[in-house]
Amino acid sequence: MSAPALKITNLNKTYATGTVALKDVSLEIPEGDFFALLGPNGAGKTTIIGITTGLVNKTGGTVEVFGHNIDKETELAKMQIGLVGQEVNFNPFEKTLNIVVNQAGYYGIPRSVAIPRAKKLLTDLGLGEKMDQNAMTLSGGMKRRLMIARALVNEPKFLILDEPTAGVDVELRRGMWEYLTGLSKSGLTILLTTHYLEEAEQLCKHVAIINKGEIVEQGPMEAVIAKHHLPAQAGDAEAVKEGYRGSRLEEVFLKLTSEK
Amino acid sequence: MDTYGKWISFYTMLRKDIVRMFRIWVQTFLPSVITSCLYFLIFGTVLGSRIGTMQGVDYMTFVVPGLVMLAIVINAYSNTSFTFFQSKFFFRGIDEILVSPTPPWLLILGFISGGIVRGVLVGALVLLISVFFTGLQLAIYNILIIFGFALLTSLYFLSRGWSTASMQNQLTASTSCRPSSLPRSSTSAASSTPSTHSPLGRRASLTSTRFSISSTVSATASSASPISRSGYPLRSSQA
Ligand SMILES: Nc1ncnc2c1ncn2[C@@H]1O[C@H](COP(=O)(O)OP(=O)(O)OP(=O)(O)O)[C@@H](O)[C@H]1O
Ligand SMILES: [Mg+2]
Repeated sequence: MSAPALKITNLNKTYATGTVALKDVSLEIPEGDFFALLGPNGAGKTTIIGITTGLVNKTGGTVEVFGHNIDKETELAKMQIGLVGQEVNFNPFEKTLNIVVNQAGYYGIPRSVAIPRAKKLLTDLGLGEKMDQNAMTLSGGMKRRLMIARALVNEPKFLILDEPTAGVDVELRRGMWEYLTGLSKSGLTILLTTHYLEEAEQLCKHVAIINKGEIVEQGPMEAVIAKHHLPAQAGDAEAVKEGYRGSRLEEVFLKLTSEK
Repeated sequence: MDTYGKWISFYTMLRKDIVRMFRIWVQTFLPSVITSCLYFLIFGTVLGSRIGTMQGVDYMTFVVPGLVMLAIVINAYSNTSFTFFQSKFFFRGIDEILVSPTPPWLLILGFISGGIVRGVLVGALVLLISVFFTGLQLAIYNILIIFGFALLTSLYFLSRGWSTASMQNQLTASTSCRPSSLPRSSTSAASSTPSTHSPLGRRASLTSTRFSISSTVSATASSASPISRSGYPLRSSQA
């Protein structure tokens, strides 16, 4: 059996400010999975992703990416990952195409290979016409898509998306879902965090819910929903009809993360 | 990441920095050109004629090495501190490199090389201008010594710039070339420039080259070692 795309064991993180962001987090994402990491604001999602990608120092625990320990085989582990961060973090004075091509360069991919690859990615993501413009001229949703193109340029086996659909309009979001589903079908492992729970419910095979630095539930999407979803009550049926209720996952999420 | 990959990564960083340098030449190259022109006009032409000669050379020629060094020091210092500071705090663009397999020591090398290129380029530019102002009176003893000195001075000051920028944790921190943020040795380095005109100056330049080598090594080592070990200060506030 091949190693899981991501294996996190007893991960702990206390920030210099004293904030305890993660408490003994353990996660496993099998290869080829479409995995949702959900949790309220400040739960620790970005921290987990930061540690996995080498942006944040962990306090304790181990992280393996396709069997490569991030401390011992850092370069091998990083080679497998593509990251779409939560914050926009490219130089806005740089040309769109150059941002993607330079990123390939940091992975050791020569320009002769990177340029056609970057052009194809940008075209696929609908940024074909913006390639030669400065990144600051892009709209918010376009910036997100630029970040997806940048994350895919090194042909990662594991794509991490930290709220990629925040600020993206409905139509584009659907387009993005389709694009991601396509990638997932082609064998790419995807980790997604989002606050749109219906999005996670539709797209993802497995889910983990994190609250205040602790994993409160994880497993296959259907199983998690079945386990916590309250049987519909008489009054609920009407509410569903009238569209008052959110998705099933949303209920489960609220049940697990709201204060008692 | 193999050696070839590392080389490409290094090339990417350096290329990006040089492209940027030329794109914003009004901010990078022009100021030093203007300042040195003003120096030559005011101190050289207007005051210089009253000062007469210094150690047997006329005043205009005498100030050339100092001006060249000044340009190198300021540019090497600000290039590194500014690009690093900017990518660490404003855009967090440094994350792009941190998530990649490029090791921290290579990242440092990339930033450093950009600073050296800018320092040496601006130094050469000012030297050219001085040829124009002084006629062809500049007697250059050894172009290699000058070049080596320019290189080492760049390296020294850009590593100071680097450590200033990487130790800052707030946006309010100043990245400018403040006298207080410069080490004491900087004054002596600037005043002991490689003299291009007198045997005395030449001896001084050799001593100061030696001085510059040792201080460069120590400054670079002191600012780079905690970074290259774990990449830790690169991750800014995420301690
Ligand atoms: N650089 C930092 N320094 C100190 N504390 C931090 C830092 N980054 C995050 N934290 C704290 O760590 C905790 C977890 O933050 P994190 O960014 O991982 O949350 P998140 O789950 O991604 O939230 P969101 O959904 O809002 O993006 C929060 O309490 C946050 O204040
Ligand atoms: Mg987050």
